[in-house]
Amino acid sequence: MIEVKNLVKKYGDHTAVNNLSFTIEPGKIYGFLGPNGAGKSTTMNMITGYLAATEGQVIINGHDIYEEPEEAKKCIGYLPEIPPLYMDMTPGEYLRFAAELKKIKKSDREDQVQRVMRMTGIVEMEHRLIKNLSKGYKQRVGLAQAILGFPEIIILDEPTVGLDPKQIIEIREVIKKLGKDHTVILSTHIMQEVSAVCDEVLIIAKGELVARDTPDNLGKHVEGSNTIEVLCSAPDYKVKAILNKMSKIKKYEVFHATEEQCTKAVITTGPDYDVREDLFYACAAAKCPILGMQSSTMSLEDVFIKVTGGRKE
Amino acid sequence: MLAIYKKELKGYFTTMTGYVFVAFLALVVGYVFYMINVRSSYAWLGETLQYSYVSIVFMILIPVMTMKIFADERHTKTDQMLFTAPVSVSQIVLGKYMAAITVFLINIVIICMYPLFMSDYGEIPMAASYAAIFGFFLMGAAYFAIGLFISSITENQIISAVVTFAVILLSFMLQYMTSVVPEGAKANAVILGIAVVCIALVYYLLARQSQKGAAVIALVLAAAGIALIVILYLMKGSMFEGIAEKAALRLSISYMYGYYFETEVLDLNGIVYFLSAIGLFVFLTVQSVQKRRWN
Repeated sequence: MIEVKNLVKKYGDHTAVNNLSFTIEPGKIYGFLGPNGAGKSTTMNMITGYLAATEGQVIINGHDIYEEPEEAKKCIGYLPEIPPLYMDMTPGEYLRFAAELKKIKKSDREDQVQRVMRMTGIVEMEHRLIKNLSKGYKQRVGLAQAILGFPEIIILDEPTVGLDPKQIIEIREVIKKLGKDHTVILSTHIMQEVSAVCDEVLIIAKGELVARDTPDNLGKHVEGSNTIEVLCSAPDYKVKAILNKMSKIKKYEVFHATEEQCTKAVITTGPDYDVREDLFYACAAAKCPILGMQSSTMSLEDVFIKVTGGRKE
Repeated sequence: MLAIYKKELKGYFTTMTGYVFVAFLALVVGYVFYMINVRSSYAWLGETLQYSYVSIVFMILIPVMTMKIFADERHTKTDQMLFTAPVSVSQIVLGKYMAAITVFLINIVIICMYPLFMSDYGEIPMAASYAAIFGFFLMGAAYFAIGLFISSITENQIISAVVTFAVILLSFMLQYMTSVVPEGAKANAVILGIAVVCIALVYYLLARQSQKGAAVIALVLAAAGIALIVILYLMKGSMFEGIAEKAALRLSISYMYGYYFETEVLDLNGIVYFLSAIGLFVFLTVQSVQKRRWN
């Protein structure tokens, strides 16, 4: 579907994207993850043909974006980082212009415009000027523009930035719905978004692909992923004493909990040992009641920091 | 292309720009028409259209019309939408250019009525008048093409407007500056040599990042140009006489309009001159927009 081969982008002496290669399969939602300045937007701009690559190739549905730009661009809907909105237009005018620009058949245009407006929830804003809309609504208009025409590939650069929590959930629903019969690539640095929406994650740092997997697998990849949080109604020295006796625990940390007289412990074990049962009996024997227990596999945040941070040297 | 054309044209009339352009140009041309043709009962419209007031008003109005075309799109990042849509760059450029020209056509339609008004009061050289109006349209279109190009090289509207103004002003002034240009063959050969070096320098500045060995190519270009000039000078020095003056006049668009369309004879060279100026700048605009993607 999308094939990126040895993509390089240099700005003068600075290398923004360095020898990036990956393929994107149809019908999945991909998350593009990376710290600021990792080259996410640059890569997206090159895939969509806005920027030319210094070296390398981007092939979309068999069409090279530089050799046959018009054919390739027909397959893509793109929402850039800053939504490309004309402030003097109303969303209705803007989307009709976008529909014509995207060469959607005249008979389908009105129908499609209405459909994307419903999907993104901007129907009631149709006749207001875009410059008077709030940031969240502007973002939605931009998203509507990207979806318009229902291209096979939809690329979204940080689609939920500037939205309130309710809107974020709505937009994620829209993206999930789109993911059913479109290929969606979205870039973000919000981890929950990746775990909530994406089928596969590509982590980019310093212009290079550093990891690629499903969100679940990524967590497992990092060693010591088996972590448990326990809340006990006992002073910390007592908890420490219990934990010290348990030989299979790799390491633990003890904190004062927010509840009075309580202690919180974060326990890490090897991946094939489940500490919970043993912990329960040990605490029961020491008359130290467990109030809560929660397994926390390593979050994507940690994976992210681990994978991208290691590159700094 | 049609989508962009319609959007741009609408854009000129949702803001004040289009109205200001049409109204102000109509006012000035109308005033000159009144003074020359009506009050002085002079039948030849070509005189009106090449009057210096008209060129001056172009200097102010063209930048207003063209400053936004690409600079603003780039500034607000809306160009990302255009350049990722299934439309080629030349279609985008042409769509935008045509829209600007269409606004100007409104004025042309108004001017086309003048000979008809006058025809009630005497013998009017109709064919020649309309030829002059056609030339006037080409001249305006050439100015628009220059503005279009300048808008594509910057992302700041103000810079775009000021540079366009300066370029049109310079082009207008060149016709009056010929008296300070030397006429002798030797001096002109030197001027030509400097021009060649400047071209080589511009090439180097533009190509140094993308082309390997740009400095060498630029040097060879400059050396070859100078060698050619020296050889030609030694062979037949007289051919260099007055070359700077001719060049200055050729670069003065308003002078060339007068030169080709002032007489009541339609000169095909004039049409070719303006069409090539338009073609050149539209082409340069496409190139400059394309180049931006590579930086």
